[in-house]
Amino acid sequence: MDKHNSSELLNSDFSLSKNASSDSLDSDSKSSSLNSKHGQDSSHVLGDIQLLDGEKVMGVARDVTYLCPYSGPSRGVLKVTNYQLHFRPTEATALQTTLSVPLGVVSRIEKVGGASSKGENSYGIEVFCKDMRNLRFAHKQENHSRRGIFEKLQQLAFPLSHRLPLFAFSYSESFPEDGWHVYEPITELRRMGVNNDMWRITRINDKYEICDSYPSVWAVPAAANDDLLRSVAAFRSRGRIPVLAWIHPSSQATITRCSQPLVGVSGKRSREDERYIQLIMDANAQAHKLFIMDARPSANAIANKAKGGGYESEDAYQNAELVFLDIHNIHVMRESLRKLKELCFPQIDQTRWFSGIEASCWLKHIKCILAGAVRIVDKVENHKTSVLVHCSDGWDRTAQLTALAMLMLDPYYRTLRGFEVLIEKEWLSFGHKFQLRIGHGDERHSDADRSPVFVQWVDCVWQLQQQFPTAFEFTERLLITIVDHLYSCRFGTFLFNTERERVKEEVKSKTVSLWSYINSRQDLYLNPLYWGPSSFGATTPPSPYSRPQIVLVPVASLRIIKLWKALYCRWNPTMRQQDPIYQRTRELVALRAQLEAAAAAAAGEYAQRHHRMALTPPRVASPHHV
Amino acid sequence: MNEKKVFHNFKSYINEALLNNGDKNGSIQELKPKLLNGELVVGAAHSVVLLTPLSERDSGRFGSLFVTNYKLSFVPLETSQYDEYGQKNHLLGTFDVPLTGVGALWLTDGGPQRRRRLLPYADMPGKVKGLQVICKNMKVMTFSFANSPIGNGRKVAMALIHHAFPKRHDLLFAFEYREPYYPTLPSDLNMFQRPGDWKRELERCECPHWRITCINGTSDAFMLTAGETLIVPSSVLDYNLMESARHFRSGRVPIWVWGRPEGAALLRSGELLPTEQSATAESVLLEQVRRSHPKLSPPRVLYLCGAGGAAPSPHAPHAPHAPPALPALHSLLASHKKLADLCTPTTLPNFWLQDSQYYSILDSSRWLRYVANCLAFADDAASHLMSNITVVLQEGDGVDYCAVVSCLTQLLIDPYFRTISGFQSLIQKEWIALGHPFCDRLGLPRPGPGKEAPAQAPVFLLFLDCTWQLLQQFPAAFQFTDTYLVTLWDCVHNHLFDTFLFNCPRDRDLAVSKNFTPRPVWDWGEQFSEQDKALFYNPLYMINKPIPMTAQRLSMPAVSWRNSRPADDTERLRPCCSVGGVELWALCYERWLPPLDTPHAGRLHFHLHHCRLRAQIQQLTDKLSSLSIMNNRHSNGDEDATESFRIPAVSRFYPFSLNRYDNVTRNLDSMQVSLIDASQLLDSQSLLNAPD
Repeated sequence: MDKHNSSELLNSDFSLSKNASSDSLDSDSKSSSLNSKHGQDSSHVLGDIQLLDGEKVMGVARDVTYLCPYSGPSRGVLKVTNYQLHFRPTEATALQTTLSVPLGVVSRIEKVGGASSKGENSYGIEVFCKDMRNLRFAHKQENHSRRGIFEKLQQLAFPLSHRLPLFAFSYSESFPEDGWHVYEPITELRRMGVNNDMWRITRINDKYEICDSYPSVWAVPAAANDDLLRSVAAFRSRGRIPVLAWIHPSSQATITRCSQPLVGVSGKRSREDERYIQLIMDANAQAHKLFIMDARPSANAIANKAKGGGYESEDAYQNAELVFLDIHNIHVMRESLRKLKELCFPQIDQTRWFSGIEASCWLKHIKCILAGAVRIVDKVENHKTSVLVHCSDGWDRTAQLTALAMLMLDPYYRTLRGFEVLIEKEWLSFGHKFQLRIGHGDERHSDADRSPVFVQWVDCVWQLQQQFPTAFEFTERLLITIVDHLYSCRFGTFLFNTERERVKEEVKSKTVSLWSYINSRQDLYLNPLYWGPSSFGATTPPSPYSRPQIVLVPVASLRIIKLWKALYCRWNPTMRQQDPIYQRTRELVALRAQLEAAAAAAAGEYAQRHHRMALTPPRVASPHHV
Repeated sequence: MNEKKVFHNFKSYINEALLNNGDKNGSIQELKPKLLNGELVVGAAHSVVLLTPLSERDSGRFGSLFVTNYKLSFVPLETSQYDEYGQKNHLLGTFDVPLTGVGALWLTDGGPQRRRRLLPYADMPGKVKGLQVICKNMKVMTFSFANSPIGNGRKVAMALIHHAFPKRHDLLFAFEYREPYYPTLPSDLNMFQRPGDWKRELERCECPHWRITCINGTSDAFMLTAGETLIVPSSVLDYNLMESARHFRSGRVPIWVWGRPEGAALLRSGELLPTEQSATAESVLLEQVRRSHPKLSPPRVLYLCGAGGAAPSPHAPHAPHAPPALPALHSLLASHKKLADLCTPTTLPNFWLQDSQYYSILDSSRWLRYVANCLAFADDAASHLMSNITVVLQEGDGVDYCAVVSCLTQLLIDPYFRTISGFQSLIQKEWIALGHPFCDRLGLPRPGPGKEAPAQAPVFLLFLDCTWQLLQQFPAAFQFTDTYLVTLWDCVHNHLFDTFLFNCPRDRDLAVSKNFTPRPVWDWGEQFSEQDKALFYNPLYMINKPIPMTAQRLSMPAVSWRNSRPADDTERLRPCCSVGGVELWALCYERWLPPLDTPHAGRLHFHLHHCRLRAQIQQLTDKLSSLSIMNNRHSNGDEDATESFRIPAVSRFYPFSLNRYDNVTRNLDSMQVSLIDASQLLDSQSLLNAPD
């Protein structure tokens, strides 16, 4: 019997461990399989083109050379579909230069060299991508060989500039779960205990008439009537009035979010706005104070007065304390990431690496955002005081701060589904302008509205994951997948600017949600080391310190904040993590599961035998106990 | 929030002073340090305040400060349960520093803001109000004598400066320590002391074309800084060696340290002296090295410090893509000093100021660049060895970077050295037996008459740092953990042990002949409990491969559970050697910075979770075997015992941070009993490893 057992173990373990490793080999550090359907092995990405449902090949160019910055020039065939740019090398030995890039990541396309350019590979096209890389192709210098493919690329990469639909509207793959149901605003508010004595749900914005960039459902102080809400909307930039983002389950301290007040140079006041803020403060019985966290540097806030905006004066708002969090605007962040890209792609300059990181200021911005979120968490958690967060319009820095603070405060958002809810709620429903910031299908690559605000927030989440490796149910693979599909235009999730536009364009019925895709293969994204409330079970731990941590307080110091190489340097094959730790963990977990099963089976067999022989009563009857 | 808790444990000394001036003075006088056998108190100050590092306000602990011939010891007036580090040292308390661990002393006038460097043998001012001790492991301790009896501060500072920087080697405490020593070294540890030890290594590597010579132990010795045993090409005569040695710095002719059964070998040598015949002498020896290769392939010489001294020999033209040369020792020291400045901020404003220029300071220190370059050299050497080309490392006196690169190369290629025993054997071989001048490099007094001031440089730390980078990049490839490496670095500064106490084996032998008792640091039980030692073992190591044994020969195919590729190729680590791929070793350098230490954070959680998984697996395996032999007693009891493996919450720098949670150790204890010997875990694997 012993022998029988062990050989069985051996066999099943072979398959188990294979799964574990093939799952994680392409995960954790590299790009997730952008174009593959889930379940397909990553090796399929190499070589032949894999068409998605609804994808069509629109153009082919033969005899093209891809100038790979790492493995050198490689000849092959370039194909363009309505979704991707695909390059297949002719040489079987050069398969690692296979490219499959969703056209959504293309930021601009340029012709390089002319028909009379001298030198090898000097004539061709260059594709600049939003995901930190550039692709160079060389064509033969005869018969305008690049013209056809260049025009196709222009047209398909920037469909909106050519009056064509985005690929998400053609994509038709179906998944077992519909990700559009992940977030239901009422359910989420109920989870937080709203309606309650102090907060009520209102549908005053059902037709998006009060505020066209807000969702249709809000939670506001119960004492505020609809007339008050309308008057407050008139005093807040773009009608974005303070509404509830999160409420503390025990202290009732809240995080609310809004846009700047329309104070202007003359220092206008609004009785209604002041009263409304007082109501938010009164909704929390624990404190007689409210913190207004203005995400901007104070100089920027003052400058905004000239444009009719500004900030709350502490004279007008009794018991409110105003704090500036010194986070810079979208233009500064765009420039910072551009510098970082120069540093990370294509080659890493050994002598300029650290000074370059400092000069880009990217990590300093990350530090500012983390520090701001920590201040919010400190007020809410430790001082039981409510916090109102805003910046200028309340859809960039505000979303970063509230979503990050909520992630630190509430373990629910650190689960896979909770994280999806968080993005749907704080980013999508509250109108972060994804279309403007990313520029889906739009050829105006130098548009000043573009900015990596959301990517920067994902980076902050990654920093949290790094600092608290067991606090998240998902791994960095989920974050990278989200960033990939932020650009890819394969799913409807990140299209358009506001909930109103998405409803108008019937996104939910005409496109697939990114969450459908992710939730269909959750196992790829789960953190085997997760140690949260759900993984812990019902038993009370012996001491509060061995309980999973509820509130995360990261250290906002550059000594701890790291550059996310797995995202920014991922195209460089030498920079990949050699042996992702999760792979080993998954192997251990698989081994444990298998031993558990074997033990259960053996116990069952043992019990049965005892039963048959009627020697002793079967004391280990049920395998569930094992 | 938890930061707050820490502050509450400390009392503001100002209030304390007011309260206790009268009645507690008596008890303060009675505080005594724990003394070892042979240890004597040589200076003391009472009513001293140990200031809390990097706190917003001046707060601290009351107590007495002692200087003994072994350590600097602060004894707090009131002990608390939070006074212990996760790792407890039997020889040193929380507030103790061995005297050789004292790096720099600063006089502070009451507060850490205004300070002045106190140099050894310099004049002591009449009044000492405060003293700041910067340890070699980057810990900072600041004492205030504002409440002490007059003259106490000066007295203790005098004693410290006198005893922490002794003029003679035999004044070190290792020569005074009277505790008897009963060695319990593991049997698979190769100390490389006797010819037989080297023979074992030669046999393990299966290199028949090399021979052992003991000429260096005779009166004809030519390589005075190395041990008596050397391994050289079998075709070379001792006479030739002695002749050629005249042309190499420190007589460092190329000597064998490692080899492959296929024929390629790894050799170390010093640079050539600018004598007329030196190039000829080198080519003659390299020719012998070539003949020791079964395929007669010519060796490749890697010039670690650039081709500087040596003219490129016809055998080994300088490689065009060689990594950048490693720095001169004084540049390495300067680099480490900048790194230390970055990691030892003394005030909170200074901490945040450094934070705002963190990367430019890090860049200007160049430390990580040197780390990357060492890795690049090792990767280069490993590539040659894997393509069966013999590699000769050449550098200065052949005792510094040669050791670093040679060790790293062997770590990359030979899995045996990635075990704890293997790693310790590797250090014995490359650093101890082949004579890295630890005294000189660590700034200890030289045994015997020293001529010029020898170069001080943290070469060994550079090696540990490089090893840590490999641990980072290959989390499952090493049996030891970063806790082990950090502990090892701490022990380098504990001069109770002889391992890092001498410049060369000759000096050690001389001391032993004068009744000195050598205590190898590898006897970890001298310092740590089983529970602390458990943290040295990596739970991820060799999950699915058998542990390489000393006895196992290189050519024996490693029985691989999953894949059947040739052992060589799978065992070779290919590290990322770019500056972009290396990281600052935070656990070692930044563990004393309280603002960075947060509960529930840090990589140790990986360790704990994996330990729990392995413990559960072990338990399930036991259960399975007990079920299969129909053992009734075992199968009844502990169905839910897996639940007992709770994961303790630890903070980022555990076990080097102060213990804030009483239950941590207990939990660790219950989990790690089965992890002490990782080979035990093979039992759980034996089912799986069994051939079908």
